[in-house]
Amino acid sequence: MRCVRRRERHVIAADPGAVRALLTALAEGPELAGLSEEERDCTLLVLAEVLNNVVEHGYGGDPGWIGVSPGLQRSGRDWRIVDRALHPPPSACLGAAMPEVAAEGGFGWPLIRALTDRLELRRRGGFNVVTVQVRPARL
Amino acid sequence: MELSVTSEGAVTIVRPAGARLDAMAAVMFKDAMKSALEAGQARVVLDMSAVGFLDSSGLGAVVAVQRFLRQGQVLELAGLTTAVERVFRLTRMDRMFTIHAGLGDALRATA
Repeated sequence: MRCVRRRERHVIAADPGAVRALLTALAEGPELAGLSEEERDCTLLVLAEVLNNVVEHGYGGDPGWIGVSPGLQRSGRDWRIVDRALHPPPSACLGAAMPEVAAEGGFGWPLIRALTDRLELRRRGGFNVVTVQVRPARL
Repeated sequence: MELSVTSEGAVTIVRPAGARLDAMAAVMFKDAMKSALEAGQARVVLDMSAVGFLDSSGLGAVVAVQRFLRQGQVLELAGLTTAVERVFRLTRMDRMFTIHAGLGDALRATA
């Protein structure tokens, strides 16, 4: 666990306040500086959805940590999110459809899918690893 | 999240005070909107021009507050920023609301 944590660029507590603080910092930081506004907004939204899922469903309110690192391409649009929650995202979430009617939830994974070229979920050695490559959606 | 609530003629205008309607703000937003709708007129416009970030939790909260509408009361949206409009369009929730480009358009429009 310690080795993996040391490899992460950002390590935050699994709570909504820490997620917000990280996203706010990333929006102003160097890792997204080379992106267009559209690419940056979509990247921040995808990261928000992945991190919120870990907080709400992975750890389910229990204390924990989440590691967030740029992917190997360092494009600003590829990221790796690691956590040690006991509840990894079910593989069914990859096929979840966007709600057809006015809904109060269920948008998270469909949004992630709509905004990614690549989305992988793995569980390895007790860690959950999500890798994403963001595909911006033009209005 | 605090809301600013004002009236313009027969329209109640609600403006979120924070720039982020996210997982952290969603519950407080719903509670504050419930109070605003209870005290609001028959037509309520949610001016989102200052909201620069909306995630699926925030979207769910905006959809959820429709539950608090009285019989005959309507909730319309105005001033969606590009990032917020993208979320509404991708989720197709833009079809569930009357959305005005800006608050001025909303006030000129007839319910």
